[in-house]
Amino acid sequence: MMLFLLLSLVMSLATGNLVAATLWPLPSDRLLRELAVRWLLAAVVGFASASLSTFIWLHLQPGNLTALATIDFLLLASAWWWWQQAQKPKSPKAQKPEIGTSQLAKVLLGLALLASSTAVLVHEGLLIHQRPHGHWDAPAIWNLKARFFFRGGEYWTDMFTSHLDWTRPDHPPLLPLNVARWWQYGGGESTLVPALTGVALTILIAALLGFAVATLSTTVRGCLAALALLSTSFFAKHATSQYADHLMALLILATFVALALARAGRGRAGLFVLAGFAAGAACWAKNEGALFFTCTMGTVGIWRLSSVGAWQGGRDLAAMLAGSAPFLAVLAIWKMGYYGRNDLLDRSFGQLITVAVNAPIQIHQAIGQQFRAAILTVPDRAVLLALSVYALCTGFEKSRLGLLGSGGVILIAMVAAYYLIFLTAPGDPEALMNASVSRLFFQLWPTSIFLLMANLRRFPLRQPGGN
Amino acid sequence: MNLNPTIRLTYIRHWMCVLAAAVIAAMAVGVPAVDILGYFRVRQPPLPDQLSRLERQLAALRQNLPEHGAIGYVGRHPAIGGYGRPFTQLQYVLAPLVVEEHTDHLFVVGLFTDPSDLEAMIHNGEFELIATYDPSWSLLKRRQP
Repeated sequence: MMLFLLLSLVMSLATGNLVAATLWPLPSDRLLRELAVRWLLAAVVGFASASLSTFIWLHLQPGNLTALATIDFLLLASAWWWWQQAQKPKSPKAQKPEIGTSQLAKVLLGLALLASSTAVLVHEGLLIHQRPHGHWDAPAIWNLKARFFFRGGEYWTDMFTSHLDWTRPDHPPLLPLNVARWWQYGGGESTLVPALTGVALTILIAALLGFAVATLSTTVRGCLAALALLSTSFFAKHATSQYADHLMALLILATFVALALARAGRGRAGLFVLAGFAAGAACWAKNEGALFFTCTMGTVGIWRLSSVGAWQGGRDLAAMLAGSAPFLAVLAIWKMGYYGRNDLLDRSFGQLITVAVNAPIQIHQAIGQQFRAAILTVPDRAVLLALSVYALCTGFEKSRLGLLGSGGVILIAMVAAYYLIFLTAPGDPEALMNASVSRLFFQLWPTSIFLLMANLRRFPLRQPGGN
Repeated sequence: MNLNPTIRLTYIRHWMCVLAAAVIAAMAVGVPAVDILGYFRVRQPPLPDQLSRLERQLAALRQNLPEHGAIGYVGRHPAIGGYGRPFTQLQYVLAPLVVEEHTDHLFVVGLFTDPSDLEAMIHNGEFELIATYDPSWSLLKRRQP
């Protein structure tokens, strides 16, 4: 059965690689770190598209491994056909020499990276041993869904009964679909599957952040970005909770990485499709994903239309929408066909505005306190200060202020939207905030590091005039 | 050493960057290391994994229940709110069965921390006891009229 599990992983990764290679063909003299970024984006594509094939399988022959494998194989064959069609002769390009990086700095930071990632993985292993089923939301929401998908066969839709409203059936199922899929391929349930998924997401986020910053800036800054993330205690601890927040953080980061690479002129249209794919997958991963998608499309739309004109900007936006289309389609089926109720959205827009305007000052104060606490506790304060000092001493690349500004606007719009949600949430807003503010801020943290480190000026990290 | 102000400023910026990088690297190694030490330094042993224990206790219960559909639940639970309640844990263990918090079903699973509650329910004549499971769980079946 391990063989089938490996086969499933290989098929997902191969599909992701073919899609990523079609959308982002690299020149023959590509840099190794560019290839690494493409592999990591391919893993994101493979992970997200595996949930689509599993969702299709649930509607055809749930419980039948052959049916699932056939759908996966057809998806892989389609990706291979598309890749074949898109093959063009590759042209070499001049590589940019990396300036301002001493070998000693690289070696020292590489050693720190090795020690830090080992410590994070050991810590995660201990937490998994202590809590193999994850934190409360995992058995109540995420892994419970996976059990319905895996154990339920044709009765998996029993999860939508009103008696299970407390299990949040409206939460999108990207993560539980993947867990159920691996259980199906593995031939049985194991608590290790969702637990190791959390660990894999930890590695993917740190690696994508590091390699993307290294590609767009320098190797040293890539190492520093990954180190800044690994120093976040919440990052390691929460990965073993088996929630979908790490997945959201990965998809938000992947969206920005693809947008930044497209902005840097590395295979423009395809990368906008990849950015749309990741943003669409975020909608399929968590309800906050719809918020992120809306903020991203709006802000990127304004940025592209104002910077490259209506024709090119419109094409970029259309490419993003095309990438997100499969996920928007399955999300529409999920919300309209199965379960669309959400206690946050039960009221009309006008009612929400009335509630927000009439909210007592105490709620504003409580939200402000929670946000301030989350900003100062999710990232380590010393690291936050060190990153600020590094950025202030270096300054930002003027040519990248458009991307940096758009990214900043998206992140601020997300925080503002969270603020409105807490303001208008039914029930006890304090309890909702206690349960979710840190997680919401964590989703934005890897992207914040990326936007900061990838857009800094190329300031040599060595003595001026030295070699 | 006399340096003009521009070069001096560049030196300061350079060493500030080096210092910031050193702090980030030290924290990246230090924070997870402290977390690991904290894990072992906790004086009390870590909480037993409740769900794994419950899954072991109720493994036989699942075999006595239908593969899908809905069952009832009755029980007094300790003062634990939210997802820590035994009812929510039972739903996780028994999925894809839907567990409903009332007794209007053929099968009812009960958590009877007080044995007199179970006796009262059986003596009522509406249910018969099918099996009990360690420590306080029982499976009851509605008597056919």
